[in-house]
Amino acid sequence: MPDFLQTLLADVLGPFFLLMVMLLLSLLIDFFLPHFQKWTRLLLLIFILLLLLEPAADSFRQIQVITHSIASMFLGMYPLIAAMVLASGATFGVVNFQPAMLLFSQGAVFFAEKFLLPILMTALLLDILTRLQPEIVLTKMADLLRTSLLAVVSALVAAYSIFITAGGALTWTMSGTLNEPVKELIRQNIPFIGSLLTDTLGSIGRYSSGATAYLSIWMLFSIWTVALLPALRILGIAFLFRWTAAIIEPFSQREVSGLVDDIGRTLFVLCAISFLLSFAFIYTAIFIVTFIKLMTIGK
Amino acid sequence: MFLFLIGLIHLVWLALLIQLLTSAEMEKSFMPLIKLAVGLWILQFLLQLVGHKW
Amino acid sequence: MTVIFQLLVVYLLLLLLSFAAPALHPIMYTALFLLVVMYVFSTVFIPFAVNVLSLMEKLPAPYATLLLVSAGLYYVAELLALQMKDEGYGAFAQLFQTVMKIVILTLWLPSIQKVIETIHALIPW
Repeated sequence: MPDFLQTLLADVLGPFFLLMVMLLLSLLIDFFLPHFQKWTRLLLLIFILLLLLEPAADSFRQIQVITHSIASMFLGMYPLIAAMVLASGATFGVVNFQPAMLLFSQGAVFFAEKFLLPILMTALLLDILTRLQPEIVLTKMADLLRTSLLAVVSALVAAYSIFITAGGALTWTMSGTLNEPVKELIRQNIPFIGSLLTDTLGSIGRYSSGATAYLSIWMLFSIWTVALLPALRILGIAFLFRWTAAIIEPFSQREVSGLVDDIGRTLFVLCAISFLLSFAFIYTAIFIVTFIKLMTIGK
Repeated sequence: MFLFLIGLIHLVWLALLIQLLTSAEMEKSFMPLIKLAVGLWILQFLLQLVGHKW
Repeated sequence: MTVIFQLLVVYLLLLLLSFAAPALHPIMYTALFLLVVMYVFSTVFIPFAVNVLSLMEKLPAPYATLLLVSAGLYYVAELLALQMKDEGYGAFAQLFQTVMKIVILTLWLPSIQKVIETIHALIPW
């Protein structure tokens, strides 16, 4: 855990401090040459795009790789799982895992790979183009793409929760009084996806507490960590971008802080998508492991 | 879709170059021309999309 | 500080010249101006720029140097263009400024290339 934090800090925070230094330099130049401002803006934007986009593009690529590997893993194992389901027969009813749910989660992963991620990248592209040349305004389109993506993702997560409760999984056993304030805190402080986060975590919690009867806590915990780690990393990076935009806003040109802010917002939506994917992954992983255990216990 | 986005990028880039290189009055008269080019590009892309369906 | 006084002295000299030799005034003005620009650059601007750059040695890429050099070139172009306008050659001044802007853009061309490639890499289709 510590060296993960360290690498995160090293290659994400570094460019941000450099950005501040570049901003101070460009302010100095703006003082001397007010006519040069258009150029300074362009040069700063080039700087941001080359250096600061690195962590963001990295996260995008990581999510793409994860999605692709999950999708291909599911695709490879689906015939096997179908065969196992047919072979087991009655053991299914005991744990209440719905095969429809599995299909749904796989479908969500495919959907994300083919549809959600490209649309998100297009939104980011449109934002960058608008910031480069403010007279050609493409913000409405980019915002439309982003908010409709968010709506789709939240609809999918709501569908997950409905599936789970309809499937009749056991309820979350931890004391509800401890949970609620933390949920409220998250919901208030993380814009857009706060409620998404709490609902997803709630469904994951509800779901896995049903599975603890068959799995060790350790295995459950490790599946959780593997699935949620990239999402949390992206959340951290998104926050960093937005904070930087807020910090540099008073003394930088509008486009510069606007670009950093836009990248942050896009990363937030990416984080929501990655939560969706991690939920699908957790579900399927627990399903498979529990199923195998059941098969061995049954025999 | 790919072609459309690349074209958009190049148009915006061209607009930026022209804005940088020219003086204020020339830029004011050139901007509508560039907006016209962007508009034509977007419209032809949309028409192409619709045309495929029919 | 002394440079400011020196500039004032040169200015007085120019006024004297315009009074003393009005026919030769344009070419004397231009030559003197170019000399003064080179002098002020080497004594004031370049050390200042080097000073500012030494504050920013942590930057990984040559962006700070590029920025300062572009600002310097732009400023020189503006000065000389104004000087040409003083003599009545406004069109020439405009041409000079545009060429200097193209030179600045040429300096930035490799970085611009990289940015376009990054943006292209974002396109998923």
